[in-house]
Amino acid sequence: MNLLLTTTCNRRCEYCFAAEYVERDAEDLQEDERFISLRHFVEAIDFFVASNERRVSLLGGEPTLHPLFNNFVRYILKRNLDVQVFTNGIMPEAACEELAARIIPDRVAFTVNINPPSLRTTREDALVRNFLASLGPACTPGININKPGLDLDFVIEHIEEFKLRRVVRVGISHPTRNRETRHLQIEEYPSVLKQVVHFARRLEEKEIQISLDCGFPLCLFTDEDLGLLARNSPARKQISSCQSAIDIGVDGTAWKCFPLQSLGAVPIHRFANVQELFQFFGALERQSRPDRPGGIFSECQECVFQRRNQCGSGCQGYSLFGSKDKPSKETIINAS
Amino acid sequence: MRPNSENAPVLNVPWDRFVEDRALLEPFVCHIRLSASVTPVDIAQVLRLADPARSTLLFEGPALLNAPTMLAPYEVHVEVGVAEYGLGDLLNLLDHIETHGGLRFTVDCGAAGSHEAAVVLASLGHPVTTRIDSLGDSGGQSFEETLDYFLHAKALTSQIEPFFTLIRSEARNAEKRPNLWQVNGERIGRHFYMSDKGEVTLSRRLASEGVLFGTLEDGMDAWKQSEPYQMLARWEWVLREHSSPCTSCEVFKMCSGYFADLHSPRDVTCEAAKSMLLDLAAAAAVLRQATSPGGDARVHA
Repeated sequence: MNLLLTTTCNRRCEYCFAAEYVERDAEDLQEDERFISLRHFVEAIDFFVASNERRVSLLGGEPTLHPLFNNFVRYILKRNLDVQVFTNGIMPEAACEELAARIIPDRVAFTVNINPPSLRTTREDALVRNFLASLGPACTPGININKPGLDLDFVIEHIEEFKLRRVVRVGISHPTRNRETRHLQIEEYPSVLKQVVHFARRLEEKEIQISLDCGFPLCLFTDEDLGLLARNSPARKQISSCQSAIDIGVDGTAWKCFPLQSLGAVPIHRFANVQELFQFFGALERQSRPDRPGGIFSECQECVFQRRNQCGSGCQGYSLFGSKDKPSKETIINAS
Repeated sequence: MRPNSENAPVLNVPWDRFVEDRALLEPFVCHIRLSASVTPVDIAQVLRLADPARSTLLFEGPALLNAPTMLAPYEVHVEVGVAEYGLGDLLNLLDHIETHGGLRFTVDCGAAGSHEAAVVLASLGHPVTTRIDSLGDSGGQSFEETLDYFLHAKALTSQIEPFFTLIRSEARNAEKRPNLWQVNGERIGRHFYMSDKGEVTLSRRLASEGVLFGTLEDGMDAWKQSEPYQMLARWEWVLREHSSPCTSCEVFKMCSGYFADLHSPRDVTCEAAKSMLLDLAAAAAVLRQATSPGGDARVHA
């Protein structure tokens, strides 16, 4: 379960899965539309507690832009919950220094979504490097792949330079409802996944683990690739799967995962806990696409990985917003 | 034995008068107000003189930062004001006194936004009292927000007063139900308040309205002979004598004319308060039904 602190972001990544949520023109929005209020924040944390969650994941926009961000982290720790922050690391030096002084090792962790240096401005680059230097041991670097051919080696250099956690979170960008983002096309999967495997080998040489985010179709990997990924995954039994997290927005409403946001958002106060929310969205999903079975390939229905819940069969967003006629895996592989 | 467990009269007194007038204060259990400007030396002086069994320390929030981190065995109440208390300030306060258990917080809901302090403190497990005397028209929204949180919070482990006491007694149809005077510590004959100028009356709000019993030197017998005291001692009769609209109000049992003007008992400004008390009564009815045989026991008190 994720809690979104703001709709504001200081980056405009072409692949952003939250692009529809992140405001494009901050001046048109009131502050209470851009930032979660203290009241909604406390109620959301209550919801985490009532759901027996042990950790709160903070997202945005860019969550560290919330004026109360550092105090939110302190508050969550006082509620005896751990904190996971998904950030781009572009944080002013003073706020970063205060945060570094406040965090409790092992209870606050950061997944830093890092763009290649070539895509950063000089100021962004300085701030990201300062963030990594200040909080390095609490940081897991993350990268998002939205097209073939991206250079990923800079992540290894950052891990060594800033003593980051020796694991890289690798995500592929998925479609959003209006498909305006530059997400990975299905026909691009084979070449990108080859690149991911190559990157995993480089990481293994450096004794760095790899954690694949949701939506990787496991059938596009060879058995040898899967072995490589499994032995280097922090969660050994799971290489990549679709967890379809619940996201709670700044207005106190929740939805199931960004790509599925169009299914609807509901106020969390109507539900006792997250289990009730999952039941609600499960029913909603079944109603919304009775004629659209899950999976990005026509073979997904018969797949052993999907039956075992080891593979999410690609992002569900493809099923919901893509064509009803799914391509076959063989066609995609042959075309690549 | 804690001070309030005795029947001794309770006097709310500024710390400097407590230090100066020790001899005159012997009959009282003292609630000692430590204002925001108090220094560590002042606090040390108070702690030397105050008997923990007959004293409660009432800190204005910032004053607590000057206090020793361990205040046991005193009962400590912390008053949180309004605008100056952001989340960071509250967390700083809590960091400072984390080792001191049993703190009670009082929140002045007299301004918009102050409910957030009540909500934050209660959610962190601290007992909170919202000051009902700040429930003027401007504080209505804050009280509503705080009450709404109290009624619907999913993981609340502490009580927010006076909501808890009022709802519980309503839900139980208790014969002797506390009214707003009682839940706000304004029982005539039991509670006294000394202003910073040394004037004695029933409570802070009456001091600010100029309703006074006398000075400390006058003594309790003289206070009880004063006109305001006599009027307050028979307040419900006074309201009836003046045909105050309070006496026919549906929440009179909970309120007992708390918001009627003491100088002109027919004049009442209580729109926000009445709305809140009606909400409390409705919540009590739901609770009563839920806890009756066959009711939905998931509804929490």
